[in-house]
Amino acid sequence: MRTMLAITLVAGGCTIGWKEYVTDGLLPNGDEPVTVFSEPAHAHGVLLSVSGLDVTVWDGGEKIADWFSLYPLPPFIPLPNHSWDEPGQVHVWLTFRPHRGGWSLSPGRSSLRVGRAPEMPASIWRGRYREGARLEFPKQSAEETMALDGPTDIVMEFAASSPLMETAELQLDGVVLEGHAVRFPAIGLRPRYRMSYDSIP
Amino acid sequence: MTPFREGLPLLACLAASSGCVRTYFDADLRPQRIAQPAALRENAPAFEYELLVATAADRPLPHEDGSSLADRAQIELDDLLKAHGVRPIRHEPGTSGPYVHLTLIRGPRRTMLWAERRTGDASSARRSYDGPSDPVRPELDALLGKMLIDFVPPAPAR
Repeated sequence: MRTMLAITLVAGGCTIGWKEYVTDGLLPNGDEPVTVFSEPAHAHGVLLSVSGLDVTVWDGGEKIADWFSLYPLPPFIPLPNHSWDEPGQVHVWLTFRPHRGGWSLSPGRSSLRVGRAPEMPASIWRGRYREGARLEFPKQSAEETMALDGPTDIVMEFAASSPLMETAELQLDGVVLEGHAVRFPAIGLRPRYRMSYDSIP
Repeated sequence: MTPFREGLPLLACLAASSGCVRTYFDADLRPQRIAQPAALRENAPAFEYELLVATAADRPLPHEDGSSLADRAQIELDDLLKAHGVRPIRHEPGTSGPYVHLTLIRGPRRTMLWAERRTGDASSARRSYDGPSDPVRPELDALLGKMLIDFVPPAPAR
């Protein structure tokens, strides 16, 4: 049925529209990291760098609604989307690039604050080394510590409903160099929506 | 060779000359002309610091030399600090003694420098300085000058 519908729409021509949600990272002073004349499709990322370690904080974005219609009508018929039924939680993607040995990370020590709500620690995290060796994730022990032996991607999940309704504040903690904690400033995560349209053919 | 491939070098040159190809903060910080660093006086005050850089992550990081962005920025900061008459010392984690933690925030419109005096895990004096983002090196030099007035006592006169 869905295939027939798709073939009919493609053969006869249709218009489609979709709404995306992205979370822009803000610099520690609240400034936007880049100047743009038109909002980009992807979210803004923030780089935090200390001697021997680069950390990138970013959000990949999420499509939250789709519409279609027969050409040349504007798209107004909604397409079911799994995000309607599954309220999401806030995900933050982090990339760690160590340039010296001795770095370790306790993901459970990072926290998120949304508005005036109390800080919430990361509830679940998962990730992989970039070279392809998978880490055994997800883990949920707040005290769990992993060595950052190479470039590592981590996704942290916080028990706050997504899409965010206001700017949240991410406090990256638990980054340790040879037993000494490294303090990072908090960075803002600001929600943004983006509408896009297209037509087939 | 296809016309597209033949045109690639030309496109790259045009993009570079028009400023479309952006560089990271450390590259922007490097001086346009290599000048001989000013000689430090014997009694130049020491300035022990550690640096954290925050900026946009809107393009891939360079891989070339296995150093972090902060490591590369520190090379330029050391030069600027020496020009201000202080002897920069990079703080190593775990060492005791007071030092200044610098947070350098490079945004598209302004550069901010947060300075915080720390001893171990305790922090005391905090100051914030900001100025325009461009031109990068002179503006950062001006911020460092203001910060040093607050955080480094003047050297005793001979």
